[in-house]
Amino acid sequence: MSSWTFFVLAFSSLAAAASGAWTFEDAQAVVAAKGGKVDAYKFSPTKPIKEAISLGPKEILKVSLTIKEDSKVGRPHQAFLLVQEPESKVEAFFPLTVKELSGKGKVDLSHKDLPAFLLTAPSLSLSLVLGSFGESAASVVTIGNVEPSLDPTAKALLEKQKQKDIGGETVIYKAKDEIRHIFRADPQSPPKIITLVFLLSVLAGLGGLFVVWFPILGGNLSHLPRALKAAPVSHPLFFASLLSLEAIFFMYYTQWNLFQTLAGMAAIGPVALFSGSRALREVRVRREKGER
Amino acid sequence: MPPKKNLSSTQTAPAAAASTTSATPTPHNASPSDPLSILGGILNTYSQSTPQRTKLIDAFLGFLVVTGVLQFAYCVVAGNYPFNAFLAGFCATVGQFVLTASLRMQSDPANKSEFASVSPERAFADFVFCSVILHLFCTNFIN
Repeated sequence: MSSWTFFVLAFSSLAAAASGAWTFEDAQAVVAAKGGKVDAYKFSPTKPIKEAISLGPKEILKVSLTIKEDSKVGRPHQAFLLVQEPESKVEAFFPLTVKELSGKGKVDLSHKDLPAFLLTAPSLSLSLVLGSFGESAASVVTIGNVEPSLDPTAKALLEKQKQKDIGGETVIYKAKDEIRHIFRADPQSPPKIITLVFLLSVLAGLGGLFVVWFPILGGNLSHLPRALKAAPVSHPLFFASLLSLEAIFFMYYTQWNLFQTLAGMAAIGPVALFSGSRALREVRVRREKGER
Repeated sequence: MPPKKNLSSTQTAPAAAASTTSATPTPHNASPSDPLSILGGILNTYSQSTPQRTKLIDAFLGFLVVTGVLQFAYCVVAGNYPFNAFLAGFCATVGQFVLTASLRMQSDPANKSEFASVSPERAFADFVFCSVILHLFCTNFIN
């Protein structure tokens, strides 16, 4: 906030020659209490109030000034009093009521305006913010410091209210600490030995299948010579086309894309169909003759 | 079409007694009451009255069951990463089992009356065609 203020002031002083800047004069801050004691503090854009203003529970801080755009009075689009707690940068703002023709603006500040968090702070900085459309530079001017003073019962109540407001934890609306989220690790493939064991057991199952097919059940291999004599081209061609289809699927798994696979299937498919129908026709002839 | 009586006799007589699945216990035994002898009777009837071609198909079905169990055990032991690989493999096994079971149903001589329009060769051709398509889709799904 202070560097921003410095920058704006520097820019506005530089730019003052080229375009206007919003500023104010005849400014004073008055602390008025019902009992009658009145403290008045005068300030200007270059001279903030040095001593801290103490604001009691029944006192009202009245800020009044005349706003000028360069040298003529004006009413800016935004004119407000910024109350900020310096350490946490929590702030509240209160718009000034500004008369259009005379440029006189004023705002009242009392305990009932401030939220519990600011009221319980030890010291609050006051700034005046002026800005509008057009080329005139905006300005943020530090006016001084205000210290709200609370009596103990009020303070206790406010502390309780503060806890209720912010949920029992000193959480205020500022940037939170960075969360370091540790993402779950990517799933990993299991160790190769397990995969190998299961692969070997599946292959053993396949071996068992061949054992059952050929020695135990007698896999009809004796039919082969007769079948080949009857249909010498169809049977091997059919078997070879089926094997090549499976080989195409293996290529699809390892290298090819879908279109190459479909092209391969379109080439081999009719061969399989044609040779298959011939081969099976031959089988049917043998079955009907009872030789199977 | 050659007359049906030329079919080998080993297939007609027991086939008439058997049904599609492994048969009920034979009635002429002394009615056994303990499960072990019932089981023995079932196995006996199966080995005597099932034609050899059907037994070949049954051996393949048994292999598919064993493979499926192994796949599932692997999934339980080693986790299911990558999941679609497990699904592809398991679906291949189950799908092949379904196709082989339907081939068995259609080609068993005892069921000839129910599948009059489908010859065993036609059933086998359907089986091969559907298996090829199954293999294509499962290969695609493994990724």
